[in-house]
Amino acid sequence: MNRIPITLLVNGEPYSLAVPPNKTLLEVLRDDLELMGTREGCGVGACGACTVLIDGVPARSCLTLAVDVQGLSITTIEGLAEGDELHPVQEAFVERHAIQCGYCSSGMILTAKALLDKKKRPTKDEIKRAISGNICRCTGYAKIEDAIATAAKKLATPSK
Amino acid sequence: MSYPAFRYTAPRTTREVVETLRIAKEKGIRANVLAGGTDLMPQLREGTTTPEVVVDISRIPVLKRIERMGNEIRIGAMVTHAELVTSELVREYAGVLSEAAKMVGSPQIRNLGTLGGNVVNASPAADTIPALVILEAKLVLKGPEGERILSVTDFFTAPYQTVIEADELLTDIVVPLPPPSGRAVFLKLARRKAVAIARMNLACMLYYDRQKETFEWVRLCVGSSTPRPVRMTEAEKALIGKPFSTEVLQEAGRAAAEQMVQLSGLRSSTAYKKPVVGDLVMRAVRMAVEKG
Repeated sequence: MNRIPITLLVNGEPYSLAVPPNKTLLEVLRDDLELMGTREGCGVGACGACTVLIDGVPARSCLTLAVDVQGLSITTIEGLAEGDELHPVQEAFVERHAIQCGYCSSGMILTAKALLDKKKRPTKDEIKRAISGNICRCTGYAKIEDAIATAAKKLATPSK
Repeated sequence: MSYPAFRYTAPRTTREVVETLRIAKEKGIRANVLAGGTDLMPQLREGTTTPEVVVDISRIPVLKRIERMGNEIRIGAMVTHAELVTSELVREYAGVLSEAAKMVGSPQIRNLGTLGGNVVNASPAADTIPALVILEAKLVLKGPEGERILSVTDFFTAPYQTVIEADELLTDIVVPLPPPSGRAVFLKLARRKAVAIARMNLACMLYYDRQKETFEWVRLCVGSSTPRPVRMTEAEKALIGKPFSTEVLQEAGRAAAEQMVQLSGLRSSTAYKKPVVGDLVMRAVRMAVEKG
């Protein structure tokens, strides 16, 4: 099949590759770039497990063709930590026990990061609204909401 | 790989899109326009839509604008639901469309999904369509012969069916500024608040004259309940010229329920939907009046 050359900026790294037009961003991230942190849940945009940030905005990588994001900047879960140092949102998820099976965590954490990039002190309701498109079948959400509120506090204080 | 193969093109102008669609139609090649992908991609995956060519319209700047032109707001087909929620222009002059867009899917779906896509996909449960109906919106379709402009109610023929030709592109949704006296409400009933398809949704705009104690004008559209979106004219008539009272509201609710059954016939869901449509109409009218 024909392939189309694209360049993507993934977690700050430029990648040039040739992709078939029917390949989703999710498939390219996992199969071509070997970034396995982004997960496929439902595959039809309903569950949020495959959420990545496209130019900083949470979007479903399973519904997005790779050719459609030519030239755009993609953030996956692998792009949050700096070396061994977890991102404050990741730290908060660990501290508040907001991860059980972990399948939703990548999408959940990226969605939370995008919220906190926009809003320093979100209300409980704003947190719930922000993650309303990310389904978690383990935690009942309370610990996740708690973790996001904790992350907001961490980000508000300059050093630990 | 989960998706069947297709060719892909991403034109930079609407003219190129129409030209591509025209050639495809002429040669008998199945072509699909890709906007946000939130409807098309699941259809490709399930194999219910099998294009040979996908025409991606996400690189066309003119389709992403929202602007006021005289007494109208022009919204490009690629404007996302998230942009409808935040746009000052839309909030100020077509607030009910913002409210409807806010109810679509989830934040991630609203970031991808577009108004044009919601319209052309023509789901009977689409949230933005009842809002466009009561705003008396017009649709601009661009084809090889030029543009044609249709009223939104003339666009749909049946669930998932519209009058758009294979070589036409929906470029703009044009919303005439509603009278400033109007008060609008959008309601949605679904299994849960997010990531849910409407069981029923409703858009209502009206002007209630408090001096005269009468409804001066009413526009009402109930979604997910009729084969194609229509104004609930019988319920509107039951209100206009009448005072705001429980009896009048009940009469309007009854009229809406009867019109729904008339248009949809008796279905398995009718026993549930009939009382609900009445109550929803009453609730929306009351909320609109209480907005002052």
